[in-house]
Amino acid sequence: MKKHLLIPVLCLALLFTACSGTRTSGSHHDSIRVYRPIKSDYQTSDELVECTLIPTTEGTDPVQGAAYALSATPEEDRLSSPLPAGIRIISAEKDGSEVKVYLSTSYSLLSGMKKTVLDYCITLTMCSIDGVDSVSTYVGNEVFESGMRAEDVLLKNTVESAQSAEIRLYFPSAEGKLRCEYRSISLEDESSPERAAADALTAGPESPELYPALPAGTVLLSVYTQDGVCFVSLSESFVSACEEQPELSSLWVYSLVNTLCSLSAVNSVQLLIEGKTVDTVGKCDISRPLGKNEKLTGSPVMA
Amino acid sequence: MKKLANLRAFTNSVQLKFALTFMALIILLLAMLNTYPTIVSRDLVFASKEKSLQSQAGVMSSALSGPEALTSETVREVMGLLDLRSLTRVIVTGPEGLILYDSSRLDPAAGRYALFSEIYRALSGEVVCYSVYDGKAFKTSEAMPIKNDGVTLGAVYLYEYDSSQASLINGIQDNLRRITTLTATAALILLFIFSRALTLRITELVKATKIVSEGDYNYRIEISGHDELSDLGEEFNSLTQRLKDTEELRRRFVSDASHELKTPLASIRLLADSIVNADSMDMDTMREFVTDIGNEAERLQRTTEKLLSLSRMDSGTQISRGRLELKQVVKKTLHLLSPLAEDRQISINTELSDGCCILGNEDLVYRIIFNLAENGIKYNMPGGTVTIRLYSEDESVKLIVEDGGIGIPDDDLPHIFSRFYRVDKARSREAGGSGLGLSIVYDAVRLHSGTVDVEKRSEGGTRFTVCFPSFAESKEET
Repeated sequence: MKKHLLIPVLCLALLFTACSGTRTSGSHHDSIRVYRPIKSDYQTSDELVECTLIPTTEGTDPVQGAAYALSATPEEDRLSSPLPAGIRIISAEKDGSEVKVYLSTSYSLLSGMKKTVLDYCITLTMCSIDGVDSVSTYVGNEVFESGMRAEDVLLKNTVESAQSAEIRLYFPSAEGKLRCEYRSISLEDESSPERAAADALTAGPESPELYPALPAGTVLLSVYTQDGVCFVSLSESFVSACEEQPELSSLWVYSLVNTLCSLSAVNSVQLLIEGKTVDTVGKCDISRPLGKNEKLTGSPVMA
Repeated sequence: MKKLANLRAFTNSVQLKFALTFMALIILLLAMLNTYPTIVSRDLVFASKEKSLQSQAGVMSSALSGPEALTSETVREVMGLLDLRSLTRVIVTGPEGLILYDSSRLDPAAGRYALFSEIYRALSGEVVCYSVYDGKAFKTSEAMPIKNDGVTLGAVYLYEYDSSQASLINGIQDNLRRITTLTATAALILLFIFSRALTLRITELVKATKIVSEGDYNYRIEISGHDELSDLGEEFNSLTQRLKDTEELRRRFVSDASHELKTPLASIRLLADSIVNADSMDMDTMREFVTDIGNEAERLQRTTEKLLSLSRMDSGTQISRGRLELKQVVKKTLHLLSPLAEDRQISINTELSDGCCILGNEDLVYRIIFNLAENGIKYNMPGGTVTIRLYSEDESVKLIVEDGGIGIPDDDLPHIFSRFYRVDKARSREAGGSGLGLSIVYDAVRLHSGTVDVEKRSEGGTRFTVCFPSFAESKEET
């Protein structure tokens, strides 16, 4: 089926795909995002699933609330439940930063895109809860999928044109993890994508619950890549800032590293201070090139 | 000043109506010009994009199709052989939506899952295409399943961002807008000029009408052009001329009437004075003078009577009408005229038919016949004849009065029915005429819905032809 969309319809579609409800500071803590597929009649280009903000009630376990919301029939006409007929969520429990979801036996027979949709609707929903970074699915005691993360999914085409694409920017969160924001950066001819990414990172987070990637006053002196290693030179003030707050030093270092390593040209990042290699800053060893740190990585912050 | 202001208001409204109608049409046309070509060209691009992407997707899909499941290595190998330069992004997924290949250079998503609606539909078997134009570029996405022997191996997703086609269309749109602006401006200017030219002539006419209605019958409009407005102008001028002539006639009538009345009165005065001032006058002279006074008084009386009857006919008082057998009326009239005819040695011949009935006023009809016959006698030579014929023809009754007398010159023929018009002033005065006789005939005939014509007789003399509508007899049988 082909459709010719006009600008207003596109705008409307974008409006619908954005989460409903007003965003006030701290709203993330009072509600969970439930991801559900859009019915085929209502589908337009790009988005397959849509999130609905559901407020959590004081005192109830958000994980249970999420499981219940996922199983319930959506209020909105345009959405359908991610659970195909005959499959139920039996229970869900939080284990550390992972949520284990127990499903009925017919889940074992599910395959293909329908399974992917179910798995990741559960994953995205659970990861929107504070402190949840991954989801595993079980039938009985048998594990089916483990370590599913919200970052594993592309909800829409992130490349708009050769000059504009979405990348992941990692910022420190309150729980001491790095959570990414999806942001469009424009790739001008002069600067490399790595430079553009680093600049976007230093511009700071958009979400109110995230913290700046680098201490105030830090200047990005240079960013250049060679043979997959990206050399980033920072100003001297970075060292002193890390001395003052050593517990944040790893977060600052890896926000840069994780962001740059998500680019295809970069395999590892070598940090320099004023162009020279340094052994440690604060608690962090930066003597050699660093790769992406998965342990520090939490779930992404959705717009 | 107020009149001029009203005039301006009137012109403005006509001009405005004209202008608004015209502008509405122009605006409509220009609106269409601005929207339709852009829409059509955009739709053409949509169609061509769909076609192009679909064919490219088809090539990829068949290249990837094979008996074995897809792996990222095999996909990469195949995609490496294809030319993907025109496409902004190409994604190949497995049957569960796992991205096996992503052409994106920045942050390739291989290894992640693509929850795109296009891919979902493609994996269900559909070929999907969406195309959007946002003013800056055409963004087209296409997805197609990769199948082998009915088994879905995965899906191929293509995305294209095309700003060059968009800039082409924008260029067209800009050009159209420029053309539109130019056309609109030109139209506005031309419209103003033409509508002004048109309404100026209307204003002219209105102004002229006002001037003439206030009494200046000498005012004429300048005729320009050859259209209906020029015709109107010409008609206006001829109407004004007729007004002037009528006014002339009226003035002349009043002056002639007062002259006709004054002259006998003056004579009477003179004669009376002469008698009063004479020391001694013999009886014969006195009698002569008094007779003259009597004659003048008689003339005065006649003139006044004629004037009165003319004025009565003018005022349009309803005349009483009845069924008249014309033969009888003619006979009665001629009986009254026989002394005069005898006196002048004029013989009157008649050819009168029966059954010539009209609906008329006896007095007026008598007056018509009397005046015509009297003229025939008066303006004749001794021994001459006057012939009166009466007959019915079709729906009318014809009365012919002709004489073999002195006749009327050609120049005077058209004017003889005018009031106070006399051909030979000296002669008719002597004959006791006032110049009103034929005017009375004319008006009286007109009142009876008839016509009167005059012509010169080839054998000398004049012929008057009066035509009355005949009075249809009501059928007595049931």
